Formats: sequence, structure tokens, C-alpha cells
Amino acid sequence: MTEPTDHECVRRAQQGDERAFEVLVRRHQVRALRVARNLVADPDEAQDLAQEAFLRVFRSLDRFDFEHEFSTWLYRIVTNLAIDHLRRRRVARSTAANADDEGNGIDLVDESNTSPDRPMEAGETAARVRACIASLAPHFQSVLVLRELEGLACTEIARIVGATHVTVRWRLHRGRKLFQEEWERRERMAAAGFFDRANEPAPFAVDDSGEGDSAQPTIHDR
Amino acid sequence: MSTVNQDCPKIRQHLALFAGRDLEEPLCRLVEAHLAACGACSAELSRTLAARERISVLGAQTARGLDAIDLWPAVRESWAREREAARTEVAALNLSRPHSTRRRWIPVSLAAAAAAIALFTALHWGIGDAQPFAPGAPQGPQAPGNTENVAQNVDLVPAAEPVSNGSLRRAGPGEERLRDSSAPLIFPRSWHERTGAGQPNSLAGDDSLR
Repeated sequence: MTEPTDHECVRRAQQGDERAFEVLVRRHQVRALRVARNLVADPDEAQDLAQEAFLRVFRSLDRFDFEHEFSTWLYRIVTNLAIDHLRRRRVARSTAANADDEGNGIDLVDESNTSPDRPMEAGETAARVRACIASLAPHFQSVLVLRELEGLACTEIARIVGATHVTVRWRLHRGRKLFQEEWERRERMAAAGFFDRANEPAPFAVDDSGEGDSAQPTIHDR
Repeated sequence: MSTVNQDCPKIRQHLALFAGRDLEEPLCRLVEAHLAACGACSAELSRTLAARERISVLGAQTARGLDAIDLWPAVRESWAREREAARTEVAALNLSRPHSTRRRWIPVSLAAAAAAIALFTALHWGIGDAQPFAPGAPQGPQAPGNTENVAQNVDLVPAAEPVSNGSLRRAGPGEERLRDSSAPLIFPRSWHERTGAGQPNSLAGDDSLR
């Protein structure tokens, strides 16, 4: 017996079939969790986001557009939730940092037990990568994660984030460059004897998007 | 080599997309041709590729243990809670609504009234043995039910006027054939049969217009 397609499950769920919705959740939960975890560092918060995404899917099942894939819709909801979460966190963090530092935002040097000479394990690299990605503006993060980690095409990412194909390509280009620069900057600081807390994002996010968000503080605008 | 160096800044603009195979084919060929001759840009590309590889490490780490997580029980619980909350809200709304019992009887009363009207209409238009009654019909000795005045009753039946030419017009192609609504009101056939009164002359044998 063949498995029902996503669209069939959506139709049945629209008619109140709980089993069909369960099939949808079980089929796509790993994907939703993966995207949420790649964007939000805390596993519990990521799980809550994925859960909330499925609830939102259920609440708006009647508005599902059968022209599109269910996975695209789910990605969109998860990504939007994660971006909202990141933006709220950025505002809270920048407010706290401003209160602490009175505008002296260059104080990125931090204590850590990480030695630059020690070969990095995969987990450690992942933590550093996460910190670098977290230092980017949310719209760069979402495009990078969807392209690099989910392997989605630019056209599908455009549908998910609600931007044009050209905008997505530009964000991808800038996101990759900013990630590389941030990674190399951290390596240089580590080599110079400063220690970088690898498993935490920078207190200020890197944002040279020019797409709004101008109120957000930036470290460097290269 | 001077041309290569002039192209370097332009080519480096494309390296980030080139590294992820996100560049269009013509630009891709241009970058490849440049990289074949430019060591500095090739080194820049290597750095970009290394950065991409590091990102993929994060993907592998994140994917670990996700299969063991099942969101459905929590989703189902939240969903059930939401439904319960919605149900409670609706119930509270119904309780707070005044005259809810009276409102419940309104459709029942309407249905009963409609049934009464339907029954009255059926009796009135000669179904069964009920005496026909038409508004404006003569009552008393000249009433249609009075068999002593059959001859007079025949006269009481208004003679049907000749049907106007318009109503007899042949229906054109695609035009719906309609019943003639300009025919005069006549008593029901059942009354004529019961009273023995003759049919209106002008309509005798012309059933097509009834």
C-alpha cells in the first residue's frame, strides 16, 4: 500500500482527520527540527519552535495553497518563527550590552579554555561555526542555513523567505563572505592570544544588509 | 598577466556564489577561465571552500539524535488544549447570551407556521374532497358547489380571452418555450368535473397553453 502524499494528508486533515495530521508531523518533524536547531542554538528552544510551527500549520490548514509543496510551507513557518526569535533575542542582547558598555561595543575579547594550538574536534568546530552564523543578521542566517545545510535551491529559498531570487542570491553571497570574514577574524584573535568564546554568539550581530534593520548595532561594516 | 590582475576584483565578487555552484553558466565559465591563470584568486577560492566545509560540520552535528525526537505527542497535547479552550469559550459565550431558550424555539415556530400554510394551501386548491374556496369566488346560492345553479355557474366562469399574439409567437431557436402567463385565471379542472360545468370554450382542446 502506497503512502499518502503530503497534499492528500493535508486534504484529509482539513476534514478533521487527526491521523492524517499525525502522518504529516511524523514525516516532516526531523526537517523542521533540523532547521530550527541550525538557526537557534538552544535545543529546547529549537524544539519549542518546531512544535509551534506544526501548531501554526494546523491552525491555518484551511489556507494551504495546493500550488506549493507542504515542505516549502513548513520551512517558511519554521524559518519565520526562528527569525522572529533571533530578532527578539538580538534586541534584548543589544539593549543589555548598551546598558553594560555604554556604547563601547568593540569589547569582543572573552575568556575561554580554548587553545588555538589544540586541534579542534568536530563538536568544537560546530560550536564555532554556530557562533559565527549567530553573529550574522537573521536574514543572512536563514538563507545560509537553507542553502548550505538543507541544500535547497535559491528559487525555493526565495519562496520560503518571501524574497526575490536575486535578493536570495545576494544574501547568499554576502552571508558566505561575512561568515568567512567572521571565522577568520576569530581565528586571528585566537592566534594573537585573545580567546574567543566559541560556543556563544557575538554580543553584536554582523549586519551590512542595508535591508532595514538599521537600528541594530553592527560590529564591522566591511 | 596584467589583464588577469585587472579582472581579479570582478572575479572575486563571484567566488562566494561560484563556490556553491550558484553562479550562472556563462559567469561560471568566465570564473573558471580566470582561476586557471590566477593563483591569488585560486587561493581565495580555497578559503571560501574551506568556510563552506566548516558550515557543513555544523549540519552533521545538528542532525545527530534528531530521529529520536517525536514531536507528535506534544503537538497533539497542545492541539487538544487549544480545542478544549475554544470549546469552553464557545460554551461561555452561549451561556452569556440572553434568551437563548427563546431563540431555540424560533426555527421550530417558523417550521410549524410553514407547515400550516402548506396544509391550508393544499386544502384550498382542491386536493381531496375539501370544498374549494377561491378568494373572490361567489358564495351562497351562486357558489360553485351548489348544483342547483349549474347553468349559472357556467356563466360565472369567466370566458377566457383570446390569447394574445405575443404569447402564441413561435419560439425562436434557443429560446425557451414558456407557459403562457397571460391566460386568464380559470377554476381548477377538478371543480368543473365535480359540478359538471363545461370547460371554458376558448381553451377547449388546446391543452398546450395550460
